Amino acid sequence: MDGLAKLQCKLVQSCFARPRVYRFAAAFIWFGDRPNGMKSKGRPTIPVGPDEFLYFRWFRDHVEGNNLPRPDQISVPDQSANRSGLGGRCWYVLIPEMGSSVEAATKRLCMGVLQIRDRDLEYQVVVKDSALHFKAIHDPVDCNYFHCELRVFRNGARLSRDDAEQLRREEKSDFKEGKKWFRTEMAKRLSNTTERLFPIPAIISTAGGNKPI
Amino acid sequence: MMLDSISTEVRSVESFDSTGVATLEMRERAKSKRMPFQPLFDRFDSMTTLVTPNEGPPWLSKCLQEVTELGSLSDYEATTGVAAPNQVSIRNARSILSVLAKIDLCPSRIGPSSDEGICISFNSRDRYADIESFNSGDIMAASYSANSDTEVWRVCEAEFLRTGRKISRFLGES
Repeated sequence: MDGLAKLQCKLVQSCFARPRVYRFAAAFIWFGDRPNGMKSKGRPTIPVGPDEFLYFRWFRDHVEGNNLPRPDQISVPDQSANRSGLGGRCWYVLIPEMGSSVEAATKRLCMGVLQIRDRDLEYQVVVKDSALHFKAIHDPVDCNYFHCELRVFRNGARLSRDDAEQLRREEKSDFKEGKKWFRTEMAKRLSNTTERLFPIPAIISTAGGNKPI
Repeated sequence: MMLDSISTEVRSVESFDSTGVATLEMRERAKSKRMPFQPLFDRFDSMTTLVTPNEGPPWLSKCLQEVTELGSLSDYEATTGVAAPNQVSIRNARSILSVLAKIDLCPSRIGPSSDEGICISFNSRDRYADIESFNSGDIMAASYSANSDTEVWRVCEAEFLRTGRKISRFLGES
């Protein structure tokens, strides 16, 4: 486990999780913007390397009792993540979008971070006539050069969340099965690594309905 | 006289049958000895109504309640971007739980799924399994452990019990 990365996340959380400190940092350090290092500034799109980490935000109640991420909370397709390569920092994934309310911003800053190597994230499964390929794609945006998306390719063509809505009923059902294979396999891979979570997520989802029995 | 009726009530309450329900005969016997306008009788009445038939393991009613509550998650879609569980997934989840109660397989957690539906999950040491009831009506189960292959399978209504037994065996393996 990268101790420095853990420390950085802890520091960001302990400093910026207080609304006043966050407001001060956003206004006077980042000038109402995101950290300078996060911005794209015309840098090119570069494929994610197999050894790079991908960072996801994670809620505390989306973890099972043994501290494993719950497969039913792994969102796919088009899930956003940040990459560690090209100078990406783990805590960048906690920095809220510009214009977020202070409440939303502090909530995001208090989430946990989950990391997985790109080679462990890539997955292929065939369900009936659908060959599904799950892969992280570098998708830089102006305010976040390290932004990636977890995309799904069905028989070689990208299948976005909107595309999936257009599928026929049987195809949708097959896609659901493919996603379930992916989510369960990801949870298993994360359970087999010692470098999955840092720091322990401090905040729970506000969506509700996630109490243990 | 008052003491007499109290002892009658106590005997009646203690005479519940093995399932925890006072038999009709006992109730009739108690009724015939009742004296009107005595508060103790009202208390006895409320005691009999509180006792409900023992229809499943203790966790079942709590789980069914949890599932029902998932139908009224406010702002869930706005917060997560995922549709909240609908009546189809709730109905199926309730059926699954009722069948699981027959083999006393208690879930570790019940919650909304990121893929639109309800996830009933089971966790034992390093083993995990779940049954997802989707809004589309599909039902799928999965299991994994550090030392075994991931398994995912579709489940139809007739296979709830078989799936429950399979998960129970899987969680019990060491």
